[in-house]
Parts: sequence; C-alpha cells; structure tokens
Amino acid sequence: MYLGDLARVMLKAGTLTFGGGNPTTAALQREMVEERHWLSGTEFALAYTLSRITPGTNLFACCSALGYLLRGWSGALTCLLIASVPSSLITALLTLGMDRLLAWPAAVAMMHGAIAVAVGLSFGSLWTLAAPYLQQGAIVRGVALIALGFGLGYVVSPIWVLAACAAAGYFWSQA
Amino acid sequence: MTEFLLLYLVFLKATLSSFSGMTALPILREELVTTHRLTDRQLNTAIVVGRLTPGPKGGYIVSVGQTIGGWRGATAAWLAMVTPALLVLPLLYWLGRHAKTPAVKRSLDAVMLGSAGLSLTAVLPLARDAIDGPLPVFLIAAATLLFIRSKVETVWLILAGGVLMLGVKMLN
Repeated sequence: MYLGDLARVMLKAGTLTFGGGNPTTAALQREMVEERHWLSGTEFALAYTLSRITPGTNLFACCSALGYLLRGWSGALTCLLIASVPSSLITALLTLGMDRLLAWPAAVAMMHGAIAVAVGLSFGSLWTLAAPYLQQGAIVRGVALIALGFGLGYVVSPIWVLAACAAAGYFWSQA
Repeated sequence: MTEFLLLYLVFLKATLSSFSGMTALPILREELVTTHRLTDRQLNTAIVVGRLTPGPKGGYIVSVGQTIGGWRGATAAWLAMVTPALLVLPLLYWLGRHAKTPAVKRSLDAVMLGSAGLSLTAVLPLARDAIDGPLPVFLIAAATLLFIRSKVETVWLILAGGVLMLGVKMLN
C-alpha cells in the first residue's frame, strides 16, 4: 500500500462525509477494513479505542493512529494533515460565506438530507464496531458496558466515562 | 506573531481539556466571549458552520479562529486542533505492544464498548435535529441498514440522501 493510496482514502473520508467524526470513522472502517483489507477489525478497533482516550479531537487522533499502524510516522503525519487541512479550509471559507449559503434553500435542503444519512452511518458504524464484542459469549457484559458509557455520558466528562468502563471491564472479568 | 501564539495557546487549552467535539466550548466561551473578543452569536454561528462542514464537530474552532483573527486565527485554531492528536502515538506504541495482555485487552475491550455508548450520546441529539418528518427517519434507517448489510460507498449514500431531500423539497 502506497502513501498516496492512504492519502486518497483519507481525503475522500475527510472531505465527503458530514455529521461529525462518527460518519468519517465509518467511511474509514469501510475502506480500510472491509474493502481494501489494509487492517483487521481488531487493529481498527484498537486505533478507535485509543483515540477515544486521547485529549482533543478524537477523529484526528484516530486518523493518526490508523496512519501509524499502516505506514509508521509518515503515515501518521500524512493522515493527520490530509484529514484536517481540507476540512478546516472548507470550514474557514464557509465562515466567510455563511450568510449567503443559508439564503440558498437548495443547499440547506441537501445538507439536511446528508446529515440524516450521516446519522444512519453513525448508527451503522457503532453497531459494526461493537457487534464482534457482543458475539463472544459476553452479551450481557457488552450491553452493560454500552449502557454504562451511554448513561454516564450525560452526567460526567467523557474521560471519566472511559476510565469507569476500563475499570469495570477489568474488575468484571476478575470477579 | 505574539497574537498568533496567544490565540494558539487559548485554542490549545480548549482542545487539550476536551475529549469530544463540543466539550471545548465552555473554555472557549470563558476565554473569548467573556473577554469580549467574540459574541455569543458569533460563537453560535461558528458551531453551525462546524455542523455544516465535513470533518469532526470540533472543527467549529477553526470557524471561531477565522471570525476573531482571519486566516491567522483559523490557522492557529487548526494547529491547536491537530497538536493533541499526536498524543495517540505513544499510547498506540505502549498499549499496542501490551494489547494482547489479558488485563489490558479486557480494559481496552471495555473502553471500546463504553465508547460506543458514549458516541450514542453524541449521535442522538444529531438525530433529533435531523428528524422533522418521515423522510429523515427513512434516510437514517436506510443508511444504517445499507452500511451494515451492503458494500455501497458511504459517499454515495450521503450524496443520495442530499439529492433525495432536495427532490422532495422541490416537489413540495
């Protein structure tokens, strides 16, 4: 796999998916794991998991981790730059033309449809990531951990949610 | 240069202390709105821009940077947004080597599942915003099923959703 191929995949996922980091992660999972077989599902899940416990924007941490797994430091930096520069440029340009865009109903309608699809992709991606862990004879434990993350997510900072899940996973198995 | 550095440090403080898209918001508000460098309305507009553009929801800080400091501000915000991402690499190096150790694997698996639950708290408000009739519900359900069951590229699904919504609006 060439660095250029990695950059192309990252550019497509980073600039053509709307609705936040989850749909972009879904697109990357589809390309890197299911279609191109660059990474195993476990490797992708490791990058995703570690990105969640990294401060800052999880998506960029995930892209860096995926790039590192595939091509070392050059892969990490390429993925970070390709995932962040074009989308940031679009954001900066849209800031300048925001008033004009919101006055164009066709653009608003298309964005509305794209965001609805992005929500569906997020649900699909979360299911795809979680499903393997729910089929290993540990359905009750898996569902309980998902519920713990979901419930605590509304009341405490994400880092404490993840710390609680890590501790729960460790001690549950010890019991 | 000093202004650029100061802006970078403000944005870095916000991004380093957050673990998901919108959690940097209180710090940005405290540092920029209460010091009258930005208004609440400008901050809200930046959040809307972040929702309308590709990439992470946290990308709205680039819009904040653009609003208060032009292209320099946007660059400072972008730099602050990507700097913490590299912290994942030492984690990957260390935990990756120990990922097969039973204790580490159990904890990582648990964090993975907890993350899925945590992500739901971010996706559900987006779903509530998107649903204003039967068509968005159909699009969400269809995209979920197609992602799980088919090999259709996500880009085409997103484009199809946009075109379908535009077509229905035009017919109405």
